[in-house]
Amino acid sequence: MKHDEHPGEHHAPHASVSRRTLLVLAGTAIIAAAIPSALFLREPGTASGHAADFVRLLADPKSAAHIGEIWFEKAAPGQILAVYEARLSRKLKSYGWHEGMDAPETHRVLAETVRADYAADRMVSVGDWQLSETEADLAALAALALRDPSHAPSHDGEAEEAGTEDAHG
Amino acid sequence: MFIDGRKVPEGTVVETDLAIIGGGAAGITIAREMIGQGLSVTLIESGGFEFEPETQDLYEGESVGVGYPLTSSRLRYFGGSTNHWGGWCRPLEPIDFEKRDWVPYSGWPVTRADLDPFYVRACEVCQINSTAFDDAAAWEAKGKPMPLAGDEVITRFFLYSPPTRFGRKYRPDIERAKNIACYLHSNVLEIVPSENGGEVARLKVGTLSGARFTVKPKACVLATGGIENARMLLASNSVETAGLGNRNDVVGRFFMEHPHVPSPATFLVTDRDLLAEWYRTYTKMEGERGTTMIRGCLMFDEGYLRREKRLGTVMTFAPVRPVMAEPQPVPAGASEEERKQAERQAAEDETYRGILQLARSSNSSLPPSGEVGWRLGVGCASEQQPNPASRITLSDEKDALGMPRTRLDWRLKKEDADNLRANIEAVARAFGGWGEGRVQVHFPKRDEWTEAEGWGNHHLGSTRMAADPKLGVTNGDCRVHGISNLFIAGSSLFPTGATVNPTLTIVALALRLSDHLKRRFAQSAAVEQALP
Repeated sequence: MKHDEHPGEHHAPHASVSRRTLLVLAGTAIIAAAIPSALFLREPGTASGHAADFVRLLADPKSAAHIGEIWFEKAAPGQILAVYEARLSRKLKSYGWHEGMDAPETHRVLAETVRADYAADRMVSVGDWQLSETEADLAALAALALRDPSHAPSHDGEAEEAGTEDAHG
Repeated sequence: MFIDGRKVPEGTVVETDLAIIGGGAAGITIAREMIGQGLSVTLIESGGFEFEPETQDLYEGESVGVGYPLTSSRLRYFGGSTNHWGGWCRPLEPIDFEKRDWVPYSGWPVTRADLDPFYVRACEVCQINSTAFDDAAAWEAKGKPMPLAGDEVITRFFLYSPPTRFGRKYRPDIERAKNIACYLHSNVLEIVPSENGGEVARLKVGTLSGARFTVKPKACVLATGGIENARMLLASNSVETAGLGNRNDVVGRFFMEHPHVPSPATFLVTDRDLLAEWYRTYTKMEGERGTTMIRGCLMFDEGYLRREKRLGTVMTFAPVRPVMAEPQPVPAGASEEERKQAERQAAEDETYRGILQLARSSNSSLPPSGEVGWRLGVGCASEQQPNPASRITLSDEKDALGMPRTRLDWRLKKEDADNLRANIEAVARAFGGWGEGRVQVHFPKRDEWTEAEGWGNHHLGSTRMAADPKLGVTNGDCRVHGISNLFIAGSSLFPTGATVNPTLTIVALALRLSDHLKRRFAQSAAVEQALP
């Protein structure tokens, strides 16, 4: 099963599909909506504009992107930037992040989120590396952002990032 | 005193208070404990003072389960397998002795507290100058444990014996002892019981040169090693046709090892200096009682083992190479082979760099660095579930003495593999939560485990202790159920295998058995004196 298609991009069933098949497909869709991977597909399809901010948290976005690409190759549940952006926003918000929060504080929240992931066994296997879900999402976001420069951090942003690392350290 | 069994006149009968079959760590320990006790002791050793291929060949046999090297995993001459022992020492954990409802057939008839005083004495026997196996504060001079997250993974210590070669180290003691006669090149061919099978009557002894003689003991300790103990009982079948102590068909069953996996995982840490020296390598420490060689390792907290219903694993690791923030150029003038090697390494490093930079960007507390971290090589050994189908029986083939050879059917279970993977994932949680480490699991998920990647040369469980004769060959005093004067020493007694190397526990159990035998002989002497 491919996970890299957004529901909105699905083609309509061919006209010759029988009514019975349509019922089966509809039933399958209802069941699928109850499982986590299907929930993933229901994430919003539009970027909220935080991707660059999140990628800016990375010491080396290109290295992180390499991990994201490994995940896509093996088992990542999709390749839609907005989805990872939304997941990260939601997770970080649950640990106190809000729009407009400065980079050092965002970093602190990220660290707390990652620690909580490990504590709760929220790990994913990326090329057999046991990473926290949040880290994996960040790596995926980096990979997709670097594919689409409009979501990558600006040059100025990278300069800010270095300062962030100093503050973080 | 040492006697060459090949020169003993045919038909000789040696009467003795205590016969000890086997001159390895357990047999020599018990013999030394008997020095000056007023008992006559006959120590019977198959080999001489050096390795001899003809004697070693007596260990050959069939391996029909998970492949296992019956010959190279042990040594058959005075000092036994301590002649190739690595010296790794650590007591078993308290939980290892318990009946664990998630581990079938678990539960020792002795506790860790029962063994504690004997572990102290065993350290002396094994020439270890400390007992700080769990006390990180004792080793702070060379670093502190990693502050791993959570309560699952803990740092513990192996302390090293030099290693003590029991044959060489304690040969003078045996030589000088007036009450000990050690017969070399002498093999017990059968432990012959009385007609009702209730006690040992005599030992039939033979040499490869063809000599035959008899030893008549008041009590007998079988201490021939974790495989031979079962073989000897099974082969002693002229009166008890299923073998001595085998009325409940337990002898030879429950054979266990410590499956070793050379590279079950890769660890990355953000800074090599976060690892105390004793994690990285064997480390000499100075203490009040002298030098002690130690090594830090990762083990699993008993709370985690209980909660998750796991068996233990012990992991050691060592730095392999640094990972740099920037790819490293191939050195100028590199050969074609070196260039290819560098390219392979660069590809690996790209992933390591990604993981480490991700860690450094999330919950690491370290500042940016040109060296983003270190790759660590990992080794591990695990406990396996006791399994009655994992067993030693007798082969149809005979050795040069006419004894049936060993047939070993070592079995591992899917659950053993699942357990190891789960424990590695626990380390991933501990490293990840700490922030300065990440873990890659190499050990695959398995539907079955039919081929071992490695083993520890640890032969466990085939004459296990249990209070219930239906579940064990000996009772808690190491006496064979149903036989009044036959005792067993060695790792074949272990009802469960635990995770760490067995020699220290073998010696501790041998010391405990020695004390028991001393009391028993003292009581017998008192009774005899009281008789008119």
